[in-house]
Amino acid sequence: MTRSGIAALAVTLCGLLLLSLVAVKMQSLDFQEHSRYEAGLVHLRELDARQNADVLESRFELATSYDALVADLGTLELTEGELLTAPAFVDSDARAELSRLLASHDAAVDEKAALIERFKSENAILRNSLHYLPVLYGDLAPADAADRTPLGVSDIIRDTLLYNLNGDPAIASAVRARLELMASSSPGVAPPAAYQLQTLAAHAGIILASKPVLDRLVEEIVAVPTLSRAEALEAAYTAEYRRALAWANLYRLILLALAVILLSGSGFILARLRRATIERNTASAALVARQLALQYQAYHDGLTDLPNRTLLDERLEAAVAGAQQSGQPLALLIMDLDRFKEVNDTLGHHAGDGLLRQVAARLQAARRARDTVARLGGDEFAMLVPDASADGARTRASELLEALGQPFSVEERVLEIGASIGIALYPEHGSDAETLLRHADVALYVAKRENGGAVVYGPEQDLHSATRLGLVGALRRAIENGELVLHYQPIVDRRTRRVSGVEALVRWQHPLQGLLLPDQFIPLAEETGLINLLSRWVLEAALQQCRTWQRAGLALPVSVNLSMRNLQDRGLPDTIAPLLEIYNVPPGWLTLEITESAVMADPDRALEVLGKLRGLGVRMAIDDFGTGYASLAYLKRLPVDQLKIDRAFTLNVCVDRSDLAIVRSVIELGHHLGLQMVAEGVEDAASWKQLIDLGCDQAQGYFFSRPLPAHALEHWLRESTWGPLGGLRATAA
Amino acid sequence: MHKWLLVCLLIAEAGCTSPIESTRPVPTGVAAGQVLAHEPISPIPVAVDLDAAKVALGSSLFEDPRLSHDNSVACSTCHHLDTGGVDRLRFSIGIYGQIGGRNAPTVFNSGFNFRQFWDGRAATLEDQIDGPTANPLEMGSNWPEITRKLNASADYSTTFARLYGGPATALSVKDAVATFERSLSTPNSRFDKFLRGDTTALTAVEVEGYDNFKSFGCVSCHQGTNVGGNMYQRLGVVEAPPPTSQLMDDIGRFGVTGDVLDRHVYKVPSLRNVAVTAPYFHDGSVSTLEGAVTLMGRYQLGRQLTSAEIERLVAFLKTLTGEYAGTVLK
Repeated sequence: MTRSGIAALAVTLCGLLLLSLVAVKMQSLDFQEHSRYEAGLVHLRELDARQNADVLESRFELATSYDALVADLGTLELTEGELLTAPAFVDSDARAELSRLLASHDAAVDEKAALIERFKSENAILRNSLHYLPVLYGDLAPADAADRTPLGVSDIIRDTLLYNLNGDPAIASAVRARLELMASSSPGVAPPAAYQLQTLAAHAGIILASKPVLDRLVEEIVAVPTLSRAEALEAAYTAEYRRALAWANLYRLILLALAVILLSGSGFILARLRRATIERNTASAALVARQLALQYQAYHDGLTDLPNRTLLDERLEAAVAGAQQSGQPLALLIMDLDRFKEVNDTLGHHAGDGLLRQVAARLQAARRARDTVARLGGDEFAMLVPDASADGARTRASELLEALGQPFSVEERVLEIGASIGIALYPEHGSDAETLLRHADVALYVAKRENGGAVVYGPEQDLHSATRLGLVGALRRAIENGELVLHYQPIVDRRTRRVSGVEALVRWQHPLQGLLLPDQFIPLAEETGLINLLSRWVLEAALQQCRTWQRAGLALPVSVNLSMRNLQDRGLPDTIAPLLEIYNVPPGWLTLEITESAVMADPDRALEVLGKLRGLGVRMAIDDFGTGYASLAYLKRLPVDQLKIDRAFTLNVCVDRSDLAIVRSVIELGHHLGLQMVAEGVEDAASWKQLIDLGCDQAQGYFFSRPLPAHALEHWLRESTWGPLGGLRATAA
Repeated sequence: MHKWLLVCLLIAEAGCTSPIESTRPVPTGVAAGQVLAHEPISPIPVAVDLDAAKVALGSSLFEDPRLSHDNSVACSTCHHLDTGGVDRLRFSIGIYGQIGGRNAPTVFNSGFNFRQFWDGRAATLEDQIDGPTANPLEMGSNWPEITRKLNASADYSTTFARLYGGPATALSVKDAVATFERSLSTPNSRFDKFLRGDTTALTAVEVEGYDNFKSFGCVSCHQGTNVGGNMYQRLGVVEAPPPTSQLMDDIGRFGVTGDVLDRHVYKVPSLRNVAVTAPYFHDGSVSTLEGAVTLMGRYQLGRQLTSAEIERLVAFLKTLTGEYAGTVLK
């Protein structure tokens, strides 16, 4: 290793050390500990309220046992004990303050407990006497009433009970006066009744004395400042938690910054290493480079260099998690260009791609520091705006519409494009990434239906998913009514410099929307299961065409694309065999293409199905090779005949040295494995020449021809120098 | 309170002489096993969840005289488990034959008491153990002495090491003994069965006794799971015992708080198993249930109970005797 390499390694190690230090610091804010402590604080207040309720229930005889009072006090003291240990993130000053406040709360609890003890005793005494008065009434009142000089027993009992109800001091004095009167006039009463009269006087006296005492006790119990002290404790803790949270957020920022610095540092080192190794031009280094490129590609859109859907999903999930914690809203904007298809169809893919790059640039320019702009695919883009409310999102949407509403200059033409935007807001429209995406998508549908502008999601719009349902129905009808057509792109052989086959590509001649490209309806077909029907239609149509050409003397093997979902259709091999027979096409003339990512989605299933298909004598090809992480181990075992190198690599094969290295090593690799190599996306003569030099077996692309309807292809075959006659007929004519 | 006023009026109209004595019918329609709602007393849980190993260790310690200074007195000396958890003496006998100052309360169901000792000076069973072990009249020892003796035993050393990860300490000894004491609950008394809906568990007289217990006001203090044991009360609420009575010799909780309001105040004792834990009161001065009920009627309730009432109340109190280790206490 060079000296600079060692230095870089040392810097990286130091960075990692720093990183872990900050991470540890950040981790000290333990949310579990926080919620335990907070729950304890809330529990203090609940228990305090429950104690008050217990006391009142006992006072009014709704509760007839003190077990609940005793248990609640026990739990309260236990909870206080648990709160003695403050979470680790509380600093020493705050810790001292918390324990001071807890001690003052504890003092209040003790004071309250002592009052409650008195209450229990006093309440039992009052209750006892209240229970006894009615008995005495039964024992004494009838005789007294019958007496010539009644002692007023009924009045005493009634007024005493009344006093217990309303606490009117006037009634108390009246009862006392009557009791005195009774005492002075009772000496003549016979002994058993005399004792009962004494008892009556005693119990009435107890009620008169206990009732105000008990009322005061209840007031005092409720007035003990347990609640306000618990609140003070909670307030102090909350303030400390906020402070710790602010620090933790700062550490998180530092962590992020450090991580970015480290990543770019190591990226720089790796880039140097890569350049060094590529210069040494070894195949293994090329593979390392390819992995690196693939890593970047996994998270970025190759055309615009914007984050792709995968990265957006990750960021959206992170943003939702963050928003859940901070309580801040966020907005997800999904936009779609209004007239992109027209550009693509009339000016070609090249112009379309150029337009998308410009759109990407404008979105990037409109982006603010914390926003994420991503390309979801096709002409669909997204912007993730943290901390945006409904109004904020609308403002941002109109800024974007303004930016995209300005004319674009594409291939020396001035184009007005325009866009539609669907908006979903967290938390109103969903609390997870998937729901937000779906709802923003629904809002986008509505926006497009209303001819542009921005639309914020509303639950009633879900009805508009009917649009999609309608599309499914339309697609089914399209398959049945023959609205689908196949276009064919010629594939040219390196050795003969002549067309050696065609790739069949499906188009939907939509009665209202015009010609739709596969990426506009294949995903829908895959989602809804229509893909099997659709693929069978494509196979049959391609084989029929192949047969037609065969009869006309044109030997044109045909390639057909299969979707990931087709691999799950175990009946597929059984459908293909009879079709080959019916149309009398030699199995070797049919090539089935499956994308690398489809294979890698379920490699074992792919191995099984590809094996079966190949057993029919059909040729198998891996499409879009280089984008799907196929491991060499699988590649070796896959029963395929052909690798089609993804256009992402061939496009710049003359310009980009690393692309060149990748294509070279992929071709070498394929040849080593005995595979035929086909380059896709050949757009100019220089690339074609380069590929010839690299030994690529076949190629296709706009340089030869774009995909053409069958009759147009026949014309091309006759006229083009790449045709079977090498344009001789045209020359002759 | 409304309902008492209402009762009053009803009595006046009916001219009935003693409505309180008419008993409420035995509740019907209560499924067996379902606890009667709104009763001031609740049954003792049938099972307690405790660490069996610690209970076993606590049981050995409870029986071990090494907890006393001269190795002559164990916890079980005064709290015989086969005699209601008490020694049935007026005052217990400590080391060197010394006589204690208050009647030993039963150890059964002590875990349900809100405080320990007659005057409630210990908040927990664990704290309570400090009392008798150190009291010179009872066991007269101290923790260094006790733990030294225990740790000299190989059996104890291994058990303490296994359960508490070290030699016996004051803390671990108290934990084990208290855990054992918590296992000393006496569920399935006939009264608890009645509370759980078994209407045949009590006789008609016993049910009447329970109704008297509630209507006379006994239940104002003797309530909750332990039929008492969850509050303090002054002895002599309505009528103070004469100053010459032995009952007034003791100052009660005043000795703990120094508050004059606490003079002659005691923890209301649990009435669980009361029939098998004579003699009664803090000084053990009353030897029969009938005697105790009579005095309580006078001093606490301010009423002279008739002999029929006393008989019924005693009949009810006898239904509070529960089971320990599957056997009814005797």
